[in-house]
Amino acid sequence: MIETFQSATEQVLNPYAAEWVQEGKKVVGYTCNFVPGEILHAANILPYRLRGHGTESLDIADAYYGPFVCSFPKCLLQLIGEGKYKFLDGAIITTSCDSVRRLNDNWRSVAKDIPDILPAFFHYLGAPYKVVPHSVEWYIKELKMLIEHLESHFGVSITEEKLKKSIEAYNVSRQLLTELDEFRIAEEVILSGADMYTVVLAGTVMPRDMYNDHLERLLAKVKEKRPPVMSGRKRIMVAGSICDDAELISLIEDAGAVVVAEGLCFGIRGLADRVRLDGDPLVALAERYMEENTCPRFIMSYDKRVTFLHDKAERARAQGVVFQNVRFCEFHGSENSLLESGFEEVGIPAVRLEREFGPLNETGRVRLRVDALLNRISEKSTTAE
Amino acid sequence: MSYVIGCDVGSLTSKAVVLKKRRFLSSAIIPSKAKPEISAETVIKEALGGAELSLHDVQYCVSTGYGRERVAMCDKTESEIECHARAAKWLFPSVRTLIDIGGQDCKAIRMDEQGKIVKAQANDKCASGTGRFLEVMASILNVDVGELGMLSERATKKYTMSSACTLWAQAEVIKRLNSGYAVADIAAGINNAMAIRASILLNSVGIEEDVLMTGGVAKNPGVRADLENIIGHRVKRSRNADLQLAGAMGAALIAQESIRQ
Amino acid sequence: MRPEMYEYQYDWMIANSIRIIKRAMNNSEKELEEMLKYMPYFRDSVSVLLGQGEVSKAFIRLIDTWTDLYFYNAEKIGYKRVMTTFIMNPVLFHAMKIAPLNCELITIFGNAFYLRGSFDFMDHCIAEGFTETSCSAQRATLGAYLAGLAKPFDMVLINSTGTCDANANAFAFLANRLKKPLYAMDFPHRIPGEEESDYTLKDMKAMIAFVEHHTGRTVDYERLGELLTTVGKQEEMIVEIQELMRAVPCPVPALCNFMLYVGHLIGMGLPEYTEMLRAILEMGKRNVEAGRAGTASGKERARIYAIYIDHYCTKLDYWKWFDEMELSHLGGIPCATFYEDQPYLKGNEEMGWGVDTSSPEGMIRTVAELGARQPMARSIRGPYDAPNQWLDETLTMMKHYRADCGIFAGTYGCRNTWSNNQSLAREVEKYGYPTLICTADAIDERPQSWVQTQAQIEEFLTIRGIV
Repeated sequence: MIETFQSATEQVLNPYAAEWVQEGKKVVGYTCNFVPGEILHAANILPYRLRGHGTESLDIADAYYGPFVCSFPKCLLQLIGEGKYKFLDGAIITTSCDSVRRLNDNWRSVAKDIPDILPAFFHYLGAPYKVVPHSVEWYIKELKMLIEHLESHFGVSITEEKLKKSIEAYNVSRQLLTELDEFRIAEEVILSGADMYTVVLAGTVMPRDMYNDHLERLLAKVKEKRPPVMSGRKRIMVAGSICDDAELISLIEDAGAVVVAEGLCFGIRGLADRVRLDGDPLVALAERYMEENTCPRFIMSYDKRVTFLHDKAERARAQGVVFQNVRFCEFHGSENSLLESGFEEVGIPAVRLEREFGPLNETGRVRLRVDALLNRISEKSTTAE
Repeated sequence: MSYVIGCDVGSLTSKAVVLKKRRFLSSAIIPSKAKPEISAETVIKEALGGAELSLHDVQYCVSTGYGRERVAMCDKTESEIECHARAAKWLFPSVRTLIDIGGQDCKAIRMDEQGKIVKAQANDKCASGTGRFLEVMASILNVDVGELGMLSERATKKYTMSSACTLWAQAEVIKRLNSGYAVADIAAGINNAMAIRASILLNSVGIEEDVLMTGGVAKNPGVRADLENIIGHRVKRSRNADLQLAGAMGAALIAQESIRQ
Repeated sequence: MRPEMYEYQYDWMIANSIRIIKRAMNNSEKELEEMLKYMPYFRDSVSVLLGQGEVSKAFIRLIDTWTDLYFYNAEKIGYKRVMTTFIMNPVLFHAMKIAPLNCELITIFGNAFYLRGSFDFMDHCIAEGFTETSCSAQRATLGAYLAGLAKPFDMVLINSTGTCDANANAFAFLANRLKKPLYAMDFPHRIPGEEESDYTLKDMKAMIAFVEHHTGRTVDYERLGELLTTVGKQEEMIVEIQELMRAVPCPVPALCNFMLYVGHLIGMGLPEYTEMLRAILEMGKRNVEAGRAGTASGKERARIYAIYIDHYCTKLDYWKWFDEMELSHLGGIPCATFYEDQPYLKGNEEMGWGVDTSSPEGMIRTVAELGARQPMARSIRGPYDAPNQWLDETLTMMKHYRADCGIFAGTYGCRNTWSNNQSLAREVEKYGYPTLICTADAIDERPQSWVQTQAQIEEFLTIRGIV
């Protein structure tokens, strides 16, 4: 059912993006949800979220990033250094967190040693760390600077009208994903968590129209009353640090679970919410991308995140939660323990899992914790009976 | 034919026990082989041999440990946390908090009165706070790791290790030896460092009495005594059971439940 | 934690230790020697801290004022307490009768005054659920407060988001765990700039409104004006002291850098800080006239610039070592204040800040601009090679103060600097300055002991021909 989406996520340069490039069209990579894809779409540029999937070693990354840093940007830098992202015409690095923002510095440092790996368009986008009127204003300024830079470099014009059309296209994706999600959280789950995650991941690296088209087709198939695939499994929500690989979700599901919801930034967290179409589209984008972002880098919004995750778990009828974080991820590393306690207090078993980003060679460790969680859920159900 | 086997295939050692009704008949502990299935086969055979039984006599087998999925002869796999908790509760019904310090990892588990797991945390990334730390230190002191506990009882001065990391701690121990520190004092410091690491994990799950320590390091009275001092709770002692077998025992108990059902 | 760690309150231990030092320091040498026998936990730290004569005494009086009056006994003078970070300047709080609890300093004092440093509290913090990979600078204080071993604070106010995640995250964890109100100022990644200043001013005003809402306290502008006037005079003295440091040999002892920035973090506007600055200035001038270095021997073997922070482990060995090695310390990120009169701002005057007490708006803008130039917020908020950021500042300072080499020391939790210190070192070396990336944790001695760190730095100094 999801072959197209799978092939979009299996390689650094997927076949659809490769075709786009062959047609002479532009691709710009970006690090984080603070880059509204709509802006690039309005310039007929393919937004391409940078992923570390496929990293096999970190020798280049270690030389610049050093030892005490989150492996996500290190994996990115490794692939960049190996030339795997040479197809990009541009890159936008966001101030998501200390580790990711230093990708700006390190990419340029690596480029001094390894030729031809720095795209001609290179932009550093600031994103505020809280959502208050003056910080949204600041973010709008940053987006304006990005637009100006894109326009002058690529010789394009990103008008209000074009932005509105792009917003519409992205809202279609959001609507379709929301509809798909209903099948994923149903009593009889038709779409596994790993499959759903693959579908969502693909949206970060596929041309928008093609993506929407395939989403519609998938929705039609799913509506055809296919047999449930995940019967009798324990329903789990996964939350935490960046995860650009459906393998982690598969690993959790292999233990006897079905992942019915996620609070992950590559997942539906923040992706299913619409941008309003009235008023200034840039303001609408800024407000939506700031307000719907549930990253713990917004340290003043902890209560909002708690509500968001509780609501999500309730809606998906999750029986347990896996809070995972990439080692050295400050924000998730600590907040996960607060969230874990919070969920336990309301009677939902939760487990914390610290891992490295990259090839899943710690399956034993992951299973130790997931098995313990699933056992607790079983016992809880038995007691309830 | 109501014999069951519990098998714990770890990365350093593999353990197996034979259980019939409420009696553990025999056990075996071997260094793990490269392949978990061979480790399982070997240790189960040895355990069965100790009870003069063969595989035909076994009704059910449950495996646990990192290598559990690769044990073909077993009927079911179970998580280590569950197995350790089960064994602890069986041995000491009053136990509510458990710390299992194995060769390469360390787990802290808190249970409710019925033995259901309330919270669990594991350290399986860092050698400090695992049996590996003690092995490394013992080899520098040129003693058997099993002697570290008794050595520390002869300490006249408790030496405080300043390095948390196993690698750096090695250099520190060598330096102290060369500076003329007594081996017993250094051993006491090593046990204390181990106990401190274990206490952090225990505190992270919350401590309720009674507290039990399992795993190979449970045989080290120095670590146990220091842990008691640090956490301010007594750690139960086992006179008869070898607590290094807790994982296998728990697996066997689960196997027995399975045949009853 | 070990049960004995619960015997005494952490804040009391620190305040009391400093009070004891203050009582001891006015005795004769022999009497002091006798009294040190009764301070087994921290006699080594005391020896280091009292090693600079009148300057030391002034420093002790300053930190005693802060720990006794504000940190420990705030409620007795009608002050509330705010847990804040070292880069949040304290002036505004004094004008609102709020005592700033400087988290990182509280950790460092714990290291200096507890027998085994503050590591038990750091570990306790992890047991409470905080991530162990975070910065050691906040962890001990967090551990102590989470263990209930200090008087409670009323809120958490920080200005490190956007500059240092590890820092901001620590305070977020503390605030959310203890359910205290939290406001976090954040900075745009560029400095200076009109729009950037505008944003920071709005953010500062929003923070003030937040404090007003949660405490009922408002800004006493008359008091703020007095404080800022004093701050202006203090900054002028700092300019003079730091200009003296350009002399060869450097006439200011290494430890005075520590005193200078600790004072800057907690003592701005307080008379005790003025007194200490005066003492340092007088000592520096005497040394310059005599052609002496600030070291005990009066000699200078090499001039070191601290590229990031210093080393703050137990017994304050680092400072003692500087002196024994006859090395001059030329400052680092925590030391530079960027006050408008600072000569290193010549040609880059926009990067400086000045005091404006003409109106409440002027005063708030002063506090905002000063805050934007505090350590870290100033130089590591943006790409390391952007104007006025880490590389620019490092090279400017190394040239201005005539450094022979640079040493990077930081904590393992510092994602920000560990992500690009290698690139920075590479660039700095290109300008002819040997640069060491020290692999110690500046505040948690357990991964790499001081002995190992000392060996590493000495090896660097030797093989690079610096000493």
